[in-house]
Amino acid sequence: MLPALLIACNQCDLLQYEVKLVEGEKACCSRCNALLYKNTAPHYNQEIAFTVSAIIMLIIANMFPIATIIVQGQVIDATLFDIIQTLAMQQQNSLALLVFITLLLAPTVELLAMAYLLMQLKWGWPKHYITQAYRLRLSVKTWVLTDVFMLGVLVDLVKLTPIVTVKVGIAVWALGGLIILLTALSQAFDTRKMWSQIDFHST
Amino acid sequence: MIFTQRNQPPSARSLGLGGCEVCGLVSRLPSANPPLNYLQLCARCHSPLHSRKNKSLSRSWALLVTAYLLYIPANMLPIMDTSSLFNAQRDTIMSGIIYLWQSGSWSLALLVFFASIVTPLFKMITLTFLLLSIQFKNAWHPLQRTKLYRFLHSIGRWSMLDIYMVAILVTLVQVKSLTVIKASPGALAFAAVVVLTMLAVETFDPRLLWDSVLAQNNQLQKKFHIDNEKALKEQHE
Ligand SMILES: [Zn+2]
Ligand SMILES: [Zn+2]
Repeated sequence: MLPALLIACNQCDLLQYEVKLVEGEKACCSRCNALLYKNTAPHYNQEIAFTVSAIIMLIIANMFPIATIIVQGQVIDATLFDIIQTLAMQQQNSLALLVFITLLLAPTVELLAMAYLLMQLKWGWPKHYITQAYRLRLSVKTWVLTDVFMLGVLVDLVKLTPIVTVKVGIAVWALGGLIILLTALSQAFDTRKMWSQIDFHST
Repeated sequence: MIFTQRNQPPSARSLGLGGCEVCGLVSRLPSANPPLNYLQLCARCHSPLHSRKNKSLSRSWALLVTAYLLYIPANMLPIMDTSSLFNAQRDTIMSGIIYLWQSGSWSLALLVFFASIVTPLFKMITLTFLLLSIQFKNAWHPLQRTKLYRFLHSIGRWSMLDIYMVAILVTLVQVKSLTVIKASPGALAFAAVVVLTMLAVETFDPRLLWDSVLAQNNQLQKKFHIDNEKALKEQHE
């Protein structure tokens, strides 16, 4: 078996040796400068804190309206679920599905998979389905488009403000928090460290 | 410039090795072009091992061509129908941007213009260029091309902006018997373009950009050897 110290850059395939890093340092490919791995805190406290808060933010973002408009005494709320429902009612099922996947399903799956992995790593539980959970996270990660949605909300609010009375909903703040926490989480978590803790026969 | 075995950078593939795409463990991969249905699993995480992403080029091309085809309806068809008591209006992506510009929010108009018009076009053209460069085994600045790929990867998602803007407007502006906004087929085509280009970038394997450099170096090396042998022969004679 080959030493686990070898590392092949996943963007240019350059074969390199792993070097020891001080906490907080990052190792980048010497040819194409892609991030190879980083040295993060040995316990998983930070990652767990970020994941749990992100899950709470996701729940809040789904419970409260994103925006409210008031026209001629009519009050119209829009929660994330309302958006999906409206699109589906207008026969735009694919768009409804897209919104559902990118704003609800993908973040939920990413965070749950992450929580599952972190619990096993933190408390040294027998490691089951690590690969499946990790691959699930890997495949949905690209499709978490919360930040793009947030920008869309802001542009729409600016667009509507001169025409009608618009109120920013609680969900917008929760979405903002979620974006920050998801970024912080992927900054704090190191894939290579996780895999180095998993021995060959337990998966 | 002549590369010798010694200063040629060790690509994992050229040494018969490959990193696992899931866990990063480097394993021996007996051949670069495995026979059909040959499957090797990673010793640590049991994921299938590929030296390069499976059928990266053909998949990427297929997705990209479909995106090009859908790009036309995405921009021609209206993405939003606004109907009120007195008039009906259909908005394409471009007319939405013009509306923003005319209402005085230039910065927003520019933002949407970049996200919805510039980004998808730039992405498709650049990806075409990258795919062609691999197809023609071009060894031009692999590092610059890798950086271009990374840039594509990071900007692609922002094109979804227009879709979300429509989705929110559609939900909010539903004043009974006054104004109703509906999403139109153009929105679907546009969303499909964005998803397809994101998938095309996702299936693209940047390591292929470096393979042609390696191949060229090998050729140069071969030529160097042949020239050397010729020179030696000539010396003998
Ligand atoms: Zn590299
Ligand atoms: Zn693996």
